[in-house]
Amino acid sequence: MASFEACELFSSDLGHEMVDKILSDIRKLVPENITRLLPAEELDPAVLFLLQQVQDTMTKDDNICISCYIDTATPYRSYAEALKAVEGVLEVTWEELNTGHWSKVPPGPRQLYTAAAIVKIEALLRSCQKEHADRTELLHTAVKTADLGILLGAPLTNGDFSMTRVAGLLSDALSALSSGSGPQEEVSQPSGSTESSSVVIDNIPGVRGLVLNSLDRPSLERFRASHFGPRIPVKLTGCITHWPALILWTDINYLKKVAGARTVPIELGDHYVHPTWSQKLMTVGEFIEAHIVAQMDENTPIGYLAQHPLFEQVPELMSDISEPEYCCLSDSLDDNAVTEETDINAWFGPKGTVSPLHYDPKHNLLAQVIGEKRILLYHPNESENLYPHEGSFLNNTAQVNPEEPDYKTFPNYKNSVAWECHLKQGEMLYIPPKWWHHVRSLSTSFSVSFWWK
Amino acid sequence: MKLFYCGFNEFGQCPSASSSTVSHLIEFPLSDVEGACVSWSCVAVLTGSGVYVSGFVGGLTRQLKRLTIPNTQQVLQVSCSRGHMLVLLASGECWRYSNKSDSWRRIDHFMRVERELTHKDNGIDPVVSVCCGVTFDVALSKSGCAFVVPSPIYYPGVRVTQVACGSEHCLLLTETGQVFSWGTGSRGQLGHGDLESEQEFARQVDSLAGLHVTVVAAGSWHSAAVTECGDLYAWGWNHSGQLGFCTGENRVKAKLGQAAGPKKLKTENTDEVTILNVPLPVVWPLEQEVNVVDVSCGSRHTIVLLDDNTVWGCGWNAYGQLGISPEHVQCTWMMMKMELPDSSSGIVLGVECGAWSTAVFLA
Repeated sequence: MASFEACELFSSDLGHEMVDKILSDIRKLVPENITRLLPAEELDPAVLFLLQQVQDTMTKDDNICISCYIDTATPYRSYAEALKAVEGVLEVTWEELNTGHWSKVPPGPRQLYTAAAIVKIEALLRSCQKEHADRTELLHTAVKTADLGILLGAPLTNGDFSMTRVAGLLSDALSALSSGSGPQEEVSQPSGSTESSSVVIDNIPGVRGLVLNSLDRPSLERFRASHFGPRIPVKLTGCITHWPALILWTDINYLKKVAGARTVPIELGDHYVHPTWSQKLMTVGEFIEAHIVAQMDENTPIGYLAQHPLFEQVPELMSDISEPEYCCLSDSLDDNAVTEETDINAWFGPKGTVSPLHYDPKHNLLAQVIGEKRILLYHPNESENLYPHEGSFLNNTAQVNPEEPDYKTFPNYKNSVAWECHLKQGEMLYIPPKWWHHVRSLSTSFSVSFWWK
Repeated sequence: MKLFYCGFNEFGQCPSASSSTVSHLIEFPLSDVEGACVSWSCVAVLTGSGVYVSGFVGGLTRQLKRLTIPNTQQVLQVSCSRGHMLVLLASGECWRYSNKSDSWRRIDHFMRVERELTHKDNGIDPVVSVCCGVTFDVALSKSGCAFVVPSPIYYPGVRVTQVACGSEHCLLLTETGQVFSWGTGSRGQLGHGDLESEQEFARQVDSLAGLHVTVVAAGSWHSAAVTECGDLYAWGWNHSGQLGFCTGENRVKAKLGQAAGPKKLKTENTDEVTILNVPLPVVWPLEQEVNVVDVSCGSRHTIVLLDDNTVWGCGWNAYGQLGISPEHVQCTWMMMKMELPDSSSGIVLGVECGAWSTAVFLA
């Protein structure tokens, strides 16, 4: 992918030229007859008809002057109408994706969502070429459309179209545009970075635990024998000190530059079992402004970019970290067992984010890139002392809150044994499968989790 | 009666309008209308001179065609979804029309299940009402038995008199005014106070048990009920304000724009509803007293008829489904009054929502 750092040297015209180049590159990636790439038998013919009609209409007027284009024989007289029609396809497919459990949504509708997002981006890029077009706004909409395509859609089976690549190119075009039109908005923080000063930990309310063991760069074999095999949590030091992220991400403007325009899901509210908890889509830039650098008061809801596969969405950030070697360990004795890819998730938020006491089914390495977190851990055998929620939702989440223990309602909780870990920048925590954990950020914090089987 | 239409019109569902968005009620070009059903891409209309279907039909857009009914029988009711239509004949037969293949198929297999269960009238218990959904269809038999075609989901203890079908849930109303719900409950649409699903049999909505309900309606993920006293209850997903409760959308926008004061945010915060898993009464603007007589739910909007002959709506309005220009209102959680056409005599006989559109029947 091209780098546009040099663009600041160019005049505004050259910035626009650069943008034109990127936009024409993207348009070359857009497949023709897009609905042919979709599983027609699984999808509503009305939706496919509408989507193809929009694309055909746009393709037809390739050689016609847009501004003077009037042809009553074609269904759409303007890109605005084409956009409206393709948005209808996105909306109706979104409704389909929200029907039934997300994990059971078949690939057909998700591919349809991707295809419709492509056509919408195509329409937006064509609008960019009109005179007096607000290119910045159109490109922001296009990046958002691409990100929603990544978040909700699925790759098309035929063809080598990559939404991740398109989103990256659009984000580059936006950078080129803004560097061509003047200095980028920089966030200045009191400390000038996301790096936190030392944190006072004694005033965390509630229970405390036994101090968790720590190992410095254990060999693969030692880690397997003493922790992975017997499923015992441990803090690992010295394992990620070589990650460029430890330096790069302390500069919040770096994160804004690389991912600022990208749309991500943000959790708002105390934590995911709190009644006022909700999820909102916003750009990384908006999130940083509103929840990381903003002056917080008690009425500001805490925002948390939690459990999000950011590194799939923005591969550029993946080069700042690396998957720990320990993730190649497997419970299976069979060497030929099919190993699934490790799930890599980002956890980025201000001081005070909480993940309530819960467990996950996979092995977990939690790497602390920025700031500090406090983690309480309980052995899987403690489940009956922790009162898991009943029903099909939240049955991996405990009703007890270690920070406000209610021994009247949950009397067995006092029998439980907690382990405690303060995870600092550059450290990593191994959480075995089914181990209960409660996580609180003690400062602005960016963690990366690696889940594997 | 006459049929008027507003909302999504990308496929020419309303043949008298040319634009893709119809933001005020337009008369449908058919007379002597007896009933109609609206889906995302087509409209089925039952008239004195036969059944018509408009919009996307048989692979073609902007159609208006008269259907040839099997056995040339009298049609009692039509119901349609995006891909198919169910037609109920005077003989009690139920036929399914496929938009895609332009073909008819008789549905009889659920009748057999029914006979085994009821044995009424020597095994004859005809279907009296059908309701097409997105993922399943619901039917009601003369003896008051409800089916998610073809399986029964309610045994006649008390007769079911009305069925409504959402995208993954359905509602049943009994002759004693009690409400039952069945299906997916992930967005509170079943009204049982949790987010669990009911996959075996329909379960009573307990919090409405003390009330006498006269009409039920199901949207894609929300539900509504009208009581004998003229109150409207709503529950389920409030994504676009379709429940008539504050969505908090304004709060979030204000927050991002750093505009509103913190105190106001807090009071608004307590009123916000994202998902409501028990029915609650809907309040009209300025707390004015109203008497609701009919309700219908679209995918993400709700349309209500009052006893003073006014029509109100809340929820998503991106295509003018509330009869208001989407340029002014994209969605509203506050009930808004719909302007009725001047040309009519003015008496509203009923409302019927499609996914993204609204049909109003006028005398």
